[in-house]
Amino acid sequence: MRRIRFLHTADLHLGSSLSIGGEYSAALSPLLDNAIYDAFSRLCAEAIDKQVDFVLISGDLYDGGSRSVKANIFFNQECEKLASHNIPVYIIAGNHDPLSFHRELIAPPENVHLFGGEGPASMEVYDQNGEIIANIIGCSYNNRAESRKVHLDYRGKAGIWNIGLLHTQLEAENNYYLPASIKELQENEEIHYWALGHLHQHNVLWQEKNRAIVYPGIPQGRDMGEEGPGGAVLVDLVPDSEPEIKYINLSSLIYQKIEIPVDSIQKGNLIDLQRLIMEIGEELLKNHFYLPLNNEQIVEAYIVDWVLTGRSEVSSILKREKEEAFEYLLNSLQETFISRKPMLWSRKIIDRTGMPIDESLIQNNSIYQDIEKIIFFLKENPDFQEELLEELGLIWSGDADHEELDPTLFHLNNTTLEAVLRQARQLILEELLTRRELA
Amino acid sequence: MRIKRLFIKDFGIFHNELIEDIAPGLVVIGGHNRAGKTTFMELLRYLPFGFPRKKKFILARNRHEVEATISLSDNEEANLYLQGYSAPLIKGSKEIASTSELFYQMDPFTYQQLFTISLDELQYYRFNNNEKDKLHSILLGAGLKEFILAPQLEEFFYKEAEKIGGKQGDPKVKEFKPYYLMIRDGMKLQAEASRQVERFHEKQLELKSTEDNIRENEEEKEILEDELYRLDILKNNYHLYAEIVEIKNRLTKDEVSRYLQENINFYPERAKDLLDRFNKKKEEIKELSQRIREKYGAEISKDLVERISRHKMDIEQLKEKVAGLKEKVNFYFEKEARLEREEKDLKNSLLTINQDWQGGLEEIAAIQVDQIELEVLQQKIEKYNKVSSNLDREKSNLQEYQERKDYLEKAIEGIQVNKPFKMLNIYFLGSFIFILAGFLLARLNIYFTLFSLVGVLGLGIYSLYKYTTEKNYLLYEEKSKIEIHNLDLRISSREEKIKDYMESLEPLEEEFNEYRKMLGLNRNASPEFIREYYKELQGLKAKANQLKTEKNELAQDFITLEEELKKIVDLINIFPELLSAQIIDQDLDLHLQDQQIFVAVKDLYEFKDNIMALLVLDRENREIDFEVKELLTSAGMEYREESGDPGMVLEEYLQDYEKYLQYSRLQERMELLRGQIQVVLNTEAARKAMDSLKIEVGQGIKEPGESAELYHKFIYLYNQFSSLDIVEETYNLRKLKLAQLEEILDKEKKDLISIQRELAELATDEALKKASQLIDEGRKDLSILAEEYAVRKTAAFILRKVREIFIQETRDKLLAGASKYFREITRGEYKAILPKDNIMESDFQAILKDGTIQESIDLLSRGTLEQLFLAIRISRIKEIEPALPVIIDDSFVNFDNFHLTESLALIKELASTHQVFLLTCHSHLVDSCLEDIPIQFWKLERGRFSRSNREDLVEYLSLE
Repeated sequence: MRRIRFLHTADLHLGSSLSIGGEYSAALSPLLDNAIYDAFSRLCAEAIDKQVDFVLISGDLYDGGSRSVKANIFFNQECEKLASHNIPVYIIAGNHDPLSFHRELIAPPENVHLFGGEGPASMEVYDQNGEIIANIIGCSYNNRAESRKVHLDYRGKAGIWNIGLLHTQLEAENNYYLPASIKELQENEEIHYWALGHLHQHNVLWQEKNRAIVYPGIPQGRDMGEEGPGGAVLVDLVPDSEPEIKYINLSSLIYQKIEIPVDSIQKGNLIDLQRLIMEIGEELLKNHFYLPLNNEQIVEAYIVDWVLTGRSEVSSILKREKEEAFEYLLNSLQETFISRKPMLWSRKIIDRTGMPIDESLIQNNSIYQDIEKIIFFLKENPDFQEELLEELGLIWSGDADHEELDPTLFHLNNTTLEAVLRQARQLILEELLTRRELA
Repeated sequence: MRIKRLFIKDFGIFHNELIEDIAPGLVVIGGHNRAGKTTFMELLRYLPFGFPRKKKFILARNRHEVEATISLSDNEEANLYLQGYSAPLIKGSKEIASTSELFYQMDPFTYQQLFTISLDELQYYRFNNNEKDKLHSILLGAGLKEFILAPQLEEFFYKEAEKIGGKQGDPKVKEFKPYYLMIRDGMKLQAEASRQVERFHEKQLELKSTEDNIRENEEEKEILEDELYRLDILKNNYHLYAEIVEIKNRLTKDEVSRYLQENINFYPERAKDLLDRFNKKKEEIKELSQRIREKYGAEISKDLVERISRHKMDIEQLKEKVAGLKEKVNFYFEKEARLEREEKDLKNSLLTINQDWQGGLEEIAAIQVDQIELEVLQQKIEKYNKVSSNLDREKSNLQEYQERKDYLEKAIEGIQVNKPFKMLNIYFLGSFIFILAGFLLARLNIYFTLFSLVGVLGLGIYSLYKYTTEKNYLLYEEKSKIEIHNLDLRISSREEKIKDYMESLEPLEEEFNEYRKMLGLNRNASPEFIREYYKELQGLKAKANQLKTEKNELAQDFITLEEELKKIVDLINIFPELLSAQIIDQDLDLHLQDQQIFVAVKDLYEFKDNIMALLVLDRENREIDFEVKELLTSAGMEYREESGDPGMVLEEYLQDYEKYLQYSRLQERMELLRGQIQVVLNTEAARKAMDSLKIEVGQGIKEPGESAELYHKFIYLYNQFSSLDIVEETYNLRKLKLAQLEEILDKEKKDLISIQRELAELATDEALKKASQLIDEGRKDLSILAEEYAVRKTAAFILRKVREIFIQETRDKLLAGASKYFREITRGEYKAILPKDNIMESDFQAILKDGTIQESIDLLSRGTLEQLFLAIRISRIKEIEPALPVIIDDSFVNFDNFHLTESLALIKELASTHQVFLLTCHSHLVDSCLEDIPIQFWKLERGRFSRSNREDLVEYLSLE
């Protein structure tokens, strides 16, 4: 075995679009249109630059919901580039681009190897001299769901690196997305490197000498749910050593959700709020949002949702003016930051502010204590949460499974629940105080 | 807290009313109706809060003004000032910010409902729902206010949430709806987009097949178009070729071919011209002959013509000659006449000079004037003249002197001389007379003096004048006498000279007589005359000689003339046909017949001319003939002598020409038509159309597309149809078919474009992008709304839970105190008051002694109800820290004695901890107030307070 180097990525979803929500400046348009493609281009450039032996794509190369000829053509072109540097590409189909989906209208170049769906298959990788350097094992999704535990049947070859491609949610019980567990992967000792895909967050789940289990994360985030920089992993498998796994940033657009506490704003002045957000924005932009980027220069834009929290008089203006206030703020933010490099695009403003209330007025009152009690229960007690969830109606009956998202429904995750509870409390207090005074 | 002192400056019926030292316990205020009890109550009600600015409030005279001194719980005092509608001002030793602090943040409603117990405000039914709920919460317990608010709020949040998302939180409804729809649209687009990839391939196939179809149809269309074009050409030119055919038919007759031979040339103009000329000539000849005949009476025989021809030159020269001769003759006559005349003149001249002359020309010529020398004569004459003139001169001088002398003598005789001195005497005399006259007259008038002066003066002048004149005369006389003397001398000298001269003249005279004789003059002729006459004669002689010579010449001329005339006449006589020739009399002098001769000559000449002209015409005629012959030859016709005169031949020729013209026109027309057709055929389009027609083409056509080939094809085409109608019919059918085909093609092309467009679209991810955008945007806005919805729903949920908990936990405890008081008021008849199971319900349950539950206050009697409410209130009041003053107003009026007693007992108990104001107009109430506790009695009469006691007050109130 000799040292090999490869690039591991997954969940590119070529063909899908970035979420920007509504109108956006024309300056943003090319970025949005090309971000995902650009990320992959960069990936290929990196592959060539770093002289990798091969590239691995662990599923969801294409986006089944967004199948497009353009994506197809693009991918082929990029692979051609890789081909000219003798870099093969090994791919498995994921749940978003299963084999049944007529993935390709145009056949890819010869250096692209797609695994079949009948069962695990092996493909050997040779170097320039004709020597075998690695064995890649993979099995594609035939359909949108995969219930077979194919990883258990991944067989390695002795004397060379064995790398397994697996597109899984890594939940033992999840019959949709290849039920598997870390333990099972660890236990299959024939496989040195598990190149996983499906979960969009980069995660080195486990590594030891000669072995690792890695989610590379996505090369480019597509929505506010995929905050943070995107990239892929550059892996060096070094005999008798822990794999050198380096995360390489590839995304030109980065989503960020930033909380702006408004408590410092004394009077209900929208201008002050604007200034506050601008200041924070400036600082964040200057420091690249304090993100751990290893190549800042490729970032061209940050797409930001501003979440206003806290209590201030300005909340009444926000509640009163609503659309106009947000529009005003967004416009001025967009205008200010649009021409920076990198650009900062303010996507939306979420108002979770409340009016300042004198809590001392209510602390002694039993009703407030009861409210606090209930809120506490809601946070802690899943059954209670269930009950609440029922109350919340159809629109919140969205599935937690991000794959099966009905875009008209929403899922109440913990963060959201907390925010809702916070705001409910705030609202109740405000109303009570107001009414109490009026009574 | 207790009210110690009240100063009501201006409030309703109260003005400047001071109430001091108000008891800290039970204060009973009795007054009749309209005394101000209710007003007082209102005052106390609003004392902590400030008077409300509402319509039905108590009026003030100027402005509400009340002052109150309050003692606080810690023995501090504070002063309250209420003015108008403003918030109460507090002045106290402690820092108290507002009355709310004073009154422990109690709200007006609570204070009013609990601490001001009024008869008509006891019961629920007087309130609207909101107030009822509030009251209910108050009655159930102060802290319950929030709990009462809770259901309100819960309701409120539910409603808010419902506004956003309906009852179910269904994304399809209410405010969710538009975003939901947007997302759905996006999803649809997405689904559509994914189908697109499949369609891509389908469309590719479709594209190919459509392209193939189009190609086929295009080909067919082209063929059809060609055919149509050909038919169109045929249609439009059918008549042309038909005509060609017709012409061809006509031209194939034999006769015609002759005309259409190549070397046939017709010169119609020339023929016409010739014909014209011929006719003209004919006419001319005829005319001329006619004329000749008429004029000359001569039959124009050939011989005559010959003669004329022969002597043509002569006759021509005759003209010249005649011209000359004419002149000569005239000249001759003139000369003759002139000579005669001159002779006569000569004679006359001589006669004129010399009347006595006799003789004629000869004699004149014979005069020997030469003998006389003119010079000598001249000298003699000169001399004679000189002497004569001298003689004359002298004579005249003599005469002159004589005359002068005579004159002077006469003159002297005439003068009568007066003595000058006489004159002077006259003058003096005269003057004297005048002066005298003057003096005399001056007496009469001074002016007469003037007169005398004038006279004197005048006389003076006259005298002077006369004197002078006479003196002159004298002088003159003297002078004259002298002159006469001179003259005499001169006369004598002159007479001498005269004598001399006369002597010298004589010889001359004699000489002159000689001359006279010689010249045939009479004696009277002067010497000058002789000279002149001599001169004349010289001239005349010369002239006479000349005349003689000329006369001889004339005779010669005559001969010549006659000769020449004779010649002419001879020539004329060759033509006796000429009438005029006969006129000439041979015997006479010809020259005398000159006119006739000349006329004859003229006639002859003319005659000759005419005859010559005739000859010319004849020749011309023959020329014409020749030309005609030529013409005919060139027209391929024969010229036959027998054919008649050229005129007819020419006519024939012209007719032939017409025919020729016709045929060649036909042929031309045919050519033209053919040309037209070929022009049409020669256009690019026609060529192309014809090209596609494949038929066997005859030889002689070297290249395809040659005009000949095209034409040939045209003919072929023509022959396919028996008539134009059929051509048209076929054309229309084809056209229809073409239109149909074009329609099909059009549609196919449109389809092609749309397929191409679709393919382009499918190859892009525009639809996907758009779908994502839609979904994205919808979700973004929907998420905000969903969150808002969740928040409100959660708030409602929380509140509900709170309420439930509360109910669970506190239900039973709520009305414990009230139950106790109720028990007491009802003397145990009722055991307890409980809230309803839903404690929020504004209702109570009353439990009787035996445990029966009267489930609603509606089931209670009025009195019981009032007692119940009283009980609850009192219980509440007791619970509330700190103790605020209580105002009770006639509430007990419906209680029976029994209850009244108990109620009062309760109130007394209350008064032990609170300041209680009891306002009433009922005496029995006052009466029932047993003074086992300190009670302060006040009388209130028309806004005036006055301390009282029970008895007085009872008495006062008993009065109606």
